[in-house]
Amino acid sequence: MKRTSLERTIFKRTNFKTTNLKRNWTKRISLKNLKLKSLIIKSLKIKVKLKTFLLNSIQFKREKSITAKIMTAKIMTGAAVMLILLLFLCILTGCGNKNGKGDRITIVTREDGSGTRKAFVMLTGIQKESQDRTSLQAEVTNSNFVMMTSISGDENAIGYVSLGAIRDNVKAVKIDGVEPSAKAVQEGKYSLARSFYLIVRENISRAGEDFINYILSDEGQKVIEQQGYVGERTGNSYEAAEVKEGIDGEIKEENKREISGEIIYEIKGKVTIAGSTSAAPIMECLAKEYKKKNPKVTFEIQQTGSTAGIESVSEGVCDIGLASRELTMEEASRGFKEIRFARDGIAVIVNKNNPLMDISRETIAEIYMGHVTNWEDVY
Amino acid sequence: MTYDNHKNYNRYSYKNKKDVSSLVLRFIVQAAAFVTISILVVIVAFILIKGIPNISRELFEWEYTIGNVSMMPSIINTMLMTLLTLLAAVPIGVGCAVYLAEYAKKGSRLVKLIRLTTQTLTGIPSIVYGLFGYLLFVITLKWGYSLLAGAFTLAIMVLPVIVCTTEEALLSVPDTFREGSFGLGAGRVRTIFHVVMPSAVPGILGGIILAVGRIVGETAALIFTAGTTAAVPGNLFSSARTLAVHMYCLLGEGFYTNQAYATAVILLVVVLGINGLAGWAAGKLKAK
Amino acid sequence: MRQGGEKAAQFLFFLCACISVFSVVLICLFLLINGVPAIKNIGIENFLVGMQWKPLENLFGILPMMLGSIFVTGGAILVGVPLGILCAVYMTNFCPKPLYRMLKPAINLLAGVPSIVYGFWGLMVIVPIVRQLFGGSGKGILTASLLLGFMVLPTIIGVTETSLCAVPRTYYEGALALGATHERSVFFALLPAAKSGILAGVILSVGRVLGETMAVIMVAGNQAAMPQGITSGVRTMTANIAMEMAYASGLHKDALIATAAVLFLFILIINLCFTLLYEKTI
Repeated sequence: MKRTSLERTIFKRTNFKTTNLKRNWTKRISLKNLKLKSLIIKSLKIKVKLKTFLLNSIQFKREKSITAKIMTAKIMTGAAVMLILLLFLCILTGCGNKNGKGDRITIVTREDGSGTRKAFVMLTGIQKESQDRTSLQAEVTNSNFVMMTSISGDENAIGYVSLGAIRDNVKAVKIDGVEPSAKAVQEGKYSLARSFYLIVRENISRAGEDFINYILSDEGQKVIEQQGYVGERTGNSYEAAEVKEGIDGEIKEENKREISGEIIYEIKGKVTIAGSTSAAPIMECLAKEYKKKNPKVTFEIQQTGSTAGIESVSEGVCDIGLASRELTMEEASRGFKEIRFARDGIAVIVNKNNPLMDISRETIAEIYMGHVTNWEDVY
Repeated sequence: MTYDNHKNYNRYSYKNKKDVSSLVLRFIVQAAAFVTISILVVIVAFILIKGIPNISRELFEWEYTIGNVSMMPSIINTMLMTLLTLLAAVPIGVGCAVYLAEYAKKGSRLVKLIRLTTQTLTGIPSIVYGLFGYLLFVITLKWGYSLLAGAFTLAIMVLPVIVCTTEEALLSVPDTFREGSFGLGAGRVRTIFHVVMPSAVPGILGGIILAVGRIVGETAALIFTAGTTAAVPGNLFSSARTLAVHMYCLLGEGFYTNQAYATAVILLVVVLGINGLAGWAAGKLKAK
Repeated sequence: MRQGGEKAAQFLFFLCACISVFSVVLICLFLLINGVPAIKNIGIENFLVGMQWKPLENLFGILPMMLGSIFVTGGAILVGVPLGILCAVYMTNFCPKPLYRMLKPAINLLAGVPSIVYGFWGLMVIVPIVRQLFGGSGKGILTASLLLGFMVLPTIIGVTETSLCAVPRTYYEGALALGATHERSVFFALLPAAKSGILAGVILSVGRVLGETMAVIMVAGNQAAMPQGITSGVRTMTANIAMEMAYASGLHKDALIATAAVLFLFILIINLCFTLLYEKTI
């Protein structure tokens, strides 16, 4: 017979005989003792209170957990925002991981049709037997601005640009010990030197012919040298052209001008020039100076790239083509006249923070062909 | 905005319902708006800060020379180009949208075809338009690099934008307007022009703004059709450089960083001016 | 009399509608006339699947460029569409009126910024940031995707806003009445109803991104090689055409026109897919 602890307590306190209990164990035990009763009731009450307290506390936890969730969400988002801001600041002040991935050389080159590129690959030996072996990983751009911005922003970048177009946010390195300058190009010491050519067909307009004469004269060459290029002095001096009688179409009243008592007829016409982006600025300067002497000639200068300029001349779209490289065999066979009017150097440029000062042509070729990929191998 | 949901969000939002997902959604949406605004601010601030110091008098001379790299001819060219393009595109575009929204039967094959082609036109890249314009207008029709070739090419390019937005605007006009007008005895054409279009005008103007924005910013198509000559053209058949093409050329040469920044500022100001003007016009029409 | 006028007006509008069909046909014609002989000449597998683009050696494989376009477009959509939709939802439903009056013109302004200015800004701002975070030169798929994603934001925001405002008010009020919070009813009752308009906006922006030339030319590196990772430089088909068209001649020029035809085909396929999938939403 199992007795609950309550029964045992009752039994002890009330001195019931066990036999009675044994017989009457199914009877409900009436508790006459008030103290005991109240004790039991109290314990029950306490039990109930405990239970309700526990329940309440659990419920309280639940409610609290929702607001707590919201609070934690807010705190976490705030922390995330702070972290992002911190990361941003970190980037801006430069504690990013530049040095970890930094050593790989970034090659920047010009687009395929650029005369500067053609001249560059031929002079450095990257091009062999009409195959340009520039690495496929080289970044290509058709804009000098992008070239120079990329190099001035990236410490591991290397590129090339015409000497006349270089700006002071990049550093030009010496080639085989020779500092790039117009003087070095003129003296023939600088190895990456190339010429600018005027490409014309046989039957060019009067205005175009006169312009070419101007370019080749001393005055024109002086303008070229002022801009930082090397001129091709022929020793001729230029005089404002006169239109002789007998040439139709140019003798009109509006072209009449009186200079020191003499009546001459000015040249009038439109000259379209298309071609190299490297040579276009100097062409614009020449056109401006020429216009001072022959105000009735208008110019239309398009910058499309050397190859495009040669194409335009052969299609007849423009009068004069500008090339910053020599004509290829195929182009030369089309019957153009190639007139060299200036020489220019190609400067190899690196970032200002790059310790490189001097580089050889072979190293440049290796870099551009992708055989040398880290700056450590170059120093 | 046709209704004021933002007023409700305090009453019905997460605060009273203790719904965490609502909080998360709200936060995501606010964060997205913040990111968008900050991108806009960074773009505008960068261009203005770098560009305004570079604006000088000589950039606005009437004639372009290599010394002053003036952008005035380009600005004039841009305005001319925009005008010509809109003259060509808006009547056709609005007509097309009116047909699609008002006349066409909903499921007919022709409507499907027209919608398909309009959507196709939307997606065609600007460089393909440039090539097409070059092949058709410059080479085949022998117009050469000209203002007209550029304008026609751009007109085809912005046609779908105008058609799309006009159609949306026309469709958003409630049918009750039309029914009321028909009930009063007006014919279809009169309904369209006097009842439907005025209420759709803000949408149409929005489409025109988008179109003008596209025109002003277009470079790739114009390089091959209108050329890069930096002077105000004497006639419609000569080459002309717009402001965006001017900036492209400046960047190509690499000399003129400062002038490029200044051009960017002017481009931005021009776009702001266009938007402001259109907004004001839309406001005035709405009031009417 | 009036009937005649009505018929005439209907015919006029019909003519306008036909012009769009006509121009698409014209574009198709020109591209195909010039492009298909080139593809025949090069050989269609060499052209489409060839991995080397070296015009000077008569190698005209445009696979690297196609992959470049696809990756850059995908990345841009990933960046721009969620951001744009969420911003539009904010602007229509969560934004206080004075802020809205400032935001809307601001977004319109962003829509008008020319792509070349974006490219310029991307070159000066995003490229250095990516360079510091990920190393390398800072130009590649990641930069191009970010930049183009920002570019399509205004388009998506504008179209999403229009379509959200076009949803009948009853949808929202019904959801509220059923006990949803404001946020839930906007996201789960309004947005799905505006799905068709949003999709149209996404198609519009895919078109814009696929055709983006000027911005991509400045920030994507333009290497004509197969993309190797998220920070590797790519050349998109559009950049290829823009850079080489000026000086191309003969087969090279025709190959570029063929590239344009392929691009055009891409756009057609995308449009067709969407039309087929969502016929009911037109």
